[in-house]
Amino acid sequence: MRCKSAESSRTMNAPAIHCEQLTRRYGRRIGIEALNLDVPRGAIFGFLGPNGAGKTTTIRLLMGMLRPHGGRAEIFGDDCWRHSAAIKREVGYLPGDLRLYPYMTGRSALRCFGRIRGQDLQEQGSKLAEQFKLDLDVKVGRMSRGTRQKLGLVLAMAHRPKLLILDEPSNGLDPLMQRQLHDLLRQQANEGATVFFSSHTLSEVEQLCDRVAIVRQGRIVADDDLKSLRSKAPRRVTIVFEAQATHEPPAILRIEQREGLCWQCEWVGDAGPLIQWAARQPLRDLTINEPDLEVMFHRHYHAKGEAS
Amino acid sequence: MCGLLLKTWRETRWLTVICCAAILVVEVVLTCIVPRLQQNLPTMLNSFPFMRDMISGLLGIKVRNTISPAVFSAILWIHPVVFVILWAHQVIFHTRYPAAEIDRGTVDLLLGLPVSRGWVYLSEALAATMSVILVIGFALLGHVIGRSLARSGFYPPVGQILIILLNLLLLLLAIGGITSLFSAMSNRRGYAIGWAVAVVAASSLVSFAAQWWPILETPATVSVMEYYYPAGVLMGGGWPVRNMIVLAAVAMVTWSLGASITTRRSICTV
Repeated sequence: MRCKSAESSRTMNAPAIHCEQLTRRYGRRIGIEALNLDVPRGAIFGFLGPNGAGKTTTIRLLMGMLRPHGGRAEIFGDDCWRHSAAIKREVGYLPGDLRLYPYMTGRSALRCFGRIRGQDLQEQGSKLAEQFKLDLDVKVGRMSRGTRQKLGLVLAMAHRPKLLILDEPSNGLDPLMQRQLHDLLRQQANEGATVFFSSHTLSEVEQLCDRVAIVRQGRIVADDDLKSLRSKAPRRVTIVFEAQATHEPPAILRIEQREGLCWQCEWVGDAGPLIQWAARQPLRDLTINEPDLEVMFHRHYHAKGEAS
Repeated sequence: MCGLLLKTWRETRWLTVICCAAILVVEVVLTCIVPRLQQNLPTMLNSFPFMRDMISGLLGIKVRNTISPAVFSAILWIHPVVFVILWAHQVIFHTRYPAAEIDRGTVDLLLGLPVSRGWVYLSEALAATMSVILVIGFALLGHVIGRSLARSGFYPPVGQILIILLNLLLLLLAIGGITSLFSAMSNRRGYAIGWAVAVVAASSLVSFAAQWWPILETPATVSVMEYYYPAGVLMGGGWPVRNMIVLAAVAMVTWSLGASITTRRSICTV
């Protein structure tokens, strides 16, 4: 009895997703290697990486489709391979390459999946379909790619899951629907659900996420909250002098280009020391842009050699 | 389980309906024409001596100038058209999961639901078994209709036919098990179908050819077709218990192996 209650408290306190040294290979090729990841409950977590980085492999391991070659993956404290069926009661999943049964309509898919889940999905499904402007009476075989994606999202969310795992959810959606999707995901998170989604679009992650992990060549190269990542991201700085600078610039100001009295620079960190230095210069103009995550992400994507 | 069965039924109802209708028509026609064939058998064998070997191979007995009506009626249950319908049913049904689901990519959606792979496999097998029982039932119905149309006392009692049909059901379950095993090992339905058809065809060919080539008698013992012998039942052999046990064992072993592979393997759709 004590053992059971300890187990239940462990799963109650466990993070939504926990991966430890998770490894999966495809023959000699590495899918993911010793991946460590924790997704806290209630977070909107972005999983970023270029194509082939290991995002879908990680998601397929979490969904119990692939057997890990090393390490383990857990959802709400339960092993993703051994307790796959039980875990999925609480999980809504949208595959990256979504294939639906072509003979089904949206309504019959909700009925069929509802029967399998032992839950009536019609009411919530209809509400979601309305938000996505989706006609539930059209057969999947006659739907466009974007419409099928909308139906996939409706099917993933209709049972009010505690965890949403979405593999590139905005694929095929127009900008209006992408915004609708973002609103819905924020709403789900506000209601206590955890959202874990993969993307290769930084702007989407920036708009939506509390926390981000970047995966490259099967390894996590960054895993932090967005605020902290922003503080590490470079800012573009433009300095226009009245006359030549009188003091040496701070060491961390990286001057990229000098054109007469105009410098294009890059600055990482707090703007305080930069402003102090600038106050002692004969300046005509100083522009400090927002931290540029794009540059940081590109550096992570294209960094040479093994990831840290 | 109920939801899974309903999904399977929805996807396979036309396969079942088509197979039922086809086997019904074939059995009505065969039941009506076999008594006439039997009457003309001596003339036919004199005109086309190779027919003797063909019929021997099919029935699994040595054919002289004539065969008793009861034994000749075994043709109804071993005719190639009958086999093609029944094999097609089994091969199509048993390659649905996991091979076809992986092949068309819908397995991601299916296994994204709170169902274990084992339950899906079991529900597919249950649905396939119910469907094949229905198809065999329609074969019997076709035979009964044909008997009433032919109005002949040519055929043996229905009790003997039921023993043959039970043997046939076990043969089909064994073929289903073998097909499921190939399906469990494949990511492509085409491969699974190809391997299953190759094994069943080879099994039939070995069993057929072993009638004349003693060298094939030993390999024929591993052919599932060797354990389906309607002529033996109609010659008064009673229940083919050994054959039935072998077929049931093949069905159980191959099905369990398939289930084990399906639950342990990694599933890749990309």
